[in-house]
Amino acid sequence: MASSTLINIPAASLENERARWNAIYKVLTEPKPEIVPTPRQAIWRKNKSVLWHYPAAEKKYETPLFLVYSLLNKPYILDISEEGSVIGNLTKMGYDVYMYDWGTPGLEDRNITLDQYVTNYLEMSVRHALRHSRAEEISLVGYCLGGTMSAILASITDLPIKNLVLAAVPLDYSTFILPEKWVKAIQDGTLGFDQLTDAYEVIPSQFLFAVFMALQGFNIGPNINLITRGHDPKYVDKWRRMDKWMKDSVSFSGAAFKQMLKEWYKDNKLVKGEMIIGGKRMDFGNIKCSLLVITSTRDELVLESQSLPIMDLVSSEDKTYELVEAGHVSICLTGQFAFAVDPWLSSRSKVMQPN
Amino acid sequence: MTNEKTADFFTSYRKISEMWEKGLNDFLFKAVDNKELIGLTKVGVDAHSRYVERLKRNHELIASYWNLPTKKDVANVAELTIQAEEKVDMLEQQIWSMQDAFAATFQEQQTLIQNVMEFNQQMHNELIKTAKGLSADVKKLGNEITEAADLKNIEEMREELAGMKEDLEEMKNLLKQAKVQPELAGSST
Repeated sequence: MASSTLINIPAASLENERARWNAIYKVLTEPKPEIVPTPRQAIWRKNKSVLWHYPAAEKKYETPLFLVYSLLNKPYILDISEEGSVIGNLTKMGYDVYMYDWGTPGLEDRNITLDQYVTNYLEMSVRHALRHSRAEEISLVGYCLGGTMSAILASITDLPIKNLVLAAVPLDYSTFILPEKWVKAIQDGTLGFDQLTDAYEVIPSQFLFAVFMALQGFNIGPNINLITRGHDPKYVDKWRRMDKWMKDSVSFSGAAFKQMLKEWYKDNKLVKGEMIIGGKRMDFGNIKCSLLVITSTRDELVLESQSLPIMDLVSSEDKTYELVEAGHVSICLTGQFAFAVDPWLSSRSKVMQPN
Repeated sequence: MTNEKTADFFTSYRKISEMWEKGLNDFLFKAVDNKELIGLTKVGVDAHSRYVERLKRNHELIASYWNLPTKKDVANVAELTIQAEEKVDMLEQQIWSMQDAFAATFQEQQTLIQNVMEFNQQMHNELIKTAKGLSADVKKLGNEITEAADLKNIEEMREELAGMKEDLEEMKNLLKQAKVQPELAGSST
């Protein structure tokens, strides 16, 4: 049976084309959009870091949620727009949310180590959140490097952490996204960055941005997407917010950077349980609370194999692993993260008792 | 049979771009995975680090000649603020510990007072109960005493009756004697 294929070429809509090229022109010429956060209150400040409290729209759970974002990026990706806000959606779901913003270190913070970040900053902020909420327990939710810090904290602290959620978390550094020979060169010390770190003292944000860009290779996808979907104002708005966040990187303390490269990337001390934090030897085996590990299918920065080992290392009896259809950043950008976490978390959070 | 397909220029453009992007990235990934490039990067990083170090040294030197504060001086001052903040944090922690200890002591005290009050109440109840029991006992005793007093009266009456009986017997004897004496008198006359 013969079959013929008809190709239907739709006529270009003048309206669509005008909207598309107008949007592109705006992106190129207008200032970046202003990000308006969900109503919040700063309850504790230390150095450049801030602990924010986002009260629940209608409080449903007694157990508050503590979000920890990466040290290498600004956390407003979790609250980037009204519709796609992870924090906004969580507060609408009835959670009292606390978020820790690490801040951008200056030259005076050049000697802050990862130990200090965990014990003097993160642990203290969780204590403040617990005190502020008057809750008996708290759920710790860490994303990317924030997840690594949360996992370290959970393994050494005596704080009442009820649930631990780790999303796109790099823990096992036996392999990472660099080509094989580069991974080997870093691990055997052929390629080191100690001298560079000592020279800069604080790794400049531009340097980190350049590293991120280099890791992504030819990253023309976002620009192509802007052209192809430029006629859709909602998409353009989201694109502009994402673009702003991408280029708004932070600096990093030199001491912490050196420690990270040596103890994580080179010696892989996290999964070996050899890292000493605040005089205590960290061991993921000390984690006994409920654990949820989330990885995304299209994550090009953190490999699934970097997150998975924790499932076998913890002592938790209640542990869940979830693979979500998303990218490393898009899971937060779309607010999808809140919906990925809620079903698991809601059944493990203490529900408010009616008065 | 016909298959109708819609060909959108932008969709095709995106698909082709994605294809190219992936192809180029795969190529780049393989192309950079060589030892020579790693060696070259190391040389570049070291040279750049030395350059930055020298630049900073010279900057500090010039600033010291002109007696100008540098970013490092400002950072050192800021570090003092951070240290002060650390101390405030430690103090806050100690205050919290004290507050918690006070709260715990207060709680214990409350429990103790509660227990004492409960004990007191219990004692009070026991006392009332005992007092009630005692008054009942007293009443009973009173009744018994009254009853005993009545018995005493009966005894007295019995004694009186016994006395009266004796008197009666005596009177009877006297009467008998009186009856015998006239008879004797009559016979003698």
